[in-house]
Amino acid sequence: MEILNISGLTKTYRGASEPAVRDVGFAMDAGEMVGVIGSSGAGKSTLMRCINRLTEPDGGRVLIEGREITGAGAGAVRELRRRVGMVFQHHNLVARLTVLQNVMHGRLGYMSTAAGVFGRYPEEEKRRAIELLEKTGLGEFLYRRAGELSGGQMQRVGIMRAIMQRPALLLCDEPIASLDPASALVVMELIRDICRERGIACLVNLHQVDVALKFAERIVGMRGGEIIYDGPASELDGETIERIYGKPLSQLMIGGGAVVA
Amino acid sequence: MSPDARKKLALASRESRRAALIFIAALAALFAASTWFTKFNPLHAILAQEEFWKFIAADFVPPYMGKWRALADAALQTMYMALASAGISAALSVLLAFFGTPGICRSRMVNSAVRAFASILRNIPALVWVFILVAAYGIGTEVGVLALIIGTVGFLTRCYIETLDEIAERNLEALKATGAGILPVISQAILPAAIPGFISWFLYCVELNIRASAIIGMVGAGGIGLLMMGYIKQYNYAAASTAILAVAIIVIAVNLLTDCLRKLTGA
Ligand SMILES: Nc1ncnc2c1ncn2[C@@H]1O[C@H](COP(=O)(O)OP(=O)(O)OP(=O)(O)O)[C@@H](O)[C@H]1O
Ligand SMILES: [Mg+2]
Repeated sequence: MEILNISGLTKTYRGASEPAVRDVGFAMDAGEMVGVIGSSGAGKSTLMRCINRLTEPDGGRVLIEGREITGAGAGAVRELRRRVGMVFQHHNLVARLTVLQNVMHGRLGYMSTAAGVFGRYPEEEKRRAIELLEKTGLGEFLYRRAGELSGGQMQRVGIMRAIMQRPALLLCDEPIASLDPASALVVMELIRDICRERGIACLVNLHQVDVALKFAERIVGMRGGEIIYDGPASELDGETIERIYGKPLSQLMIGGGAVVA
Repeated sequence: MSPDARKKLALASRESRRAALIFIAALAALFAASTWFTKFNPLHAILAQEEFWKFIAADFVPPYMGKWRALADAALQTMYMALASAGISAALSVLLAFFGTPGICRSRMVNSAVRAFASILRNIPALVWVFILVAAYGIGTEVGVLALIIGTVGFLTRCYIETLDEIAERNLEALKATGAGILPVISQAILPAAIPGFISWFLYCVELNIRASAIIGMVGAGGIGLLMMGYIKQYNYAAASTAILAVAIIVIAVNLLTDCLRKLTGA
């Protein structure tokens, strides 16, 4: 089933001469994991943020589960956003609140304003959150302040917050960019497994080509705001990587194991 | 060794060092000029001390404790004024700050209006407000509280906007991305994160307002300042010195208390 469909997406920031995202289009099916790669400033974050309209695109269409979010009114945008989880590089948890409170924030979009304002979360959702956290090895941290966790643990909490939304699509903007290699692996495996298990389509921006190749079955390569490669990870060759990054492979740090032929 | 090797290396560019030098020279000149214009004579200030101490010793000591009842009432009034004004201001400022924070209130016009309003209130001293308000409402603590609220709202709104701004940048977006409306996001994420900052600034304002309420009391806003001014006008310096002591004790006590509260709340 098609979860995401983007066509002709364009975004030029105010004052910029060149668009940050230019005529981008692709589609994603349920359960699909797509890795977006490209050098700094290629437009990966902009693309991602245009999908849930945290950034307002100038042109093009974005359909989520067949419903158009571009041009939709504020209420409809909120409703569509509930189906789109987002994971940030800096996890953006509320440091002073407990792990459980942070995870429950994922449910706010589904509640009436009054229930949300007073934090009256349904009991069965609380139980689900605890179950999720226990399964992720965070069971002992339920009532810890989020700010006291390690970076990797915080990122896992951030992922659980997104999963609480019961998303059809998960957007991850450099989820491992500030983690050590071991935590990075745990986080990437968590994202992959949870999306597989639930049939969630997952779009993940990555700076590490080797990680993208290891976890994503499909790669989108961006350069100067445009998609210049969209295909299976297995067919991404050295020459294409050179085109995406605009540099010879010898000047790129691709990662430990030379995955690329 | 090259000929340059023994030359000292500068860590900043020549221009910036020269700019710093000019700045310091200008500052010194300005200081000297203003001292001259105010006819402030350091030598005289030191030599005339004898008069000062004589005055203190003859008139202020020992403090007259006979009217402690009136004094206690006035001291309590001053505390009430400070607390009431800080509390009411905090509530108003929280509300205003939400409208003044760009990430939370989307209208740039409203943001700037709130900021401008706050800075007008802040930049007119409480003393001036008291003069204006006494003309309208007459002498009393009511005027004192009102004058303090005006200044404190101006100050706290500004501080609270900064507190919110910093939090909003990190958390607001993540919560908006879940599809949550702005009100639940404020109550469930922004407020809890902002409360330590809010409390810390609030306590600071309590301290400021204690001192300020003693001063504005002297021009008619009631409390211990008014009492003290009354004694001074009657040349009853012994009683005035008790009032001064009382102010000092209150200020120190409140400082200790707020420090304690700060530790407790982790603010
Ligand atoms: N809020 C903004 N306002 C103006 N210009 C922006 C903004 N965000 C991004 N840009 C510009 O848009 C272009 C694309 O930025 P974007 O953040 O999407 O790149 P990216 O591929 O995510 O880069 P990185 O890998 O460094 O995160 C850049 O030229 C950037 O300077
Ligand atoms: Mg980015």
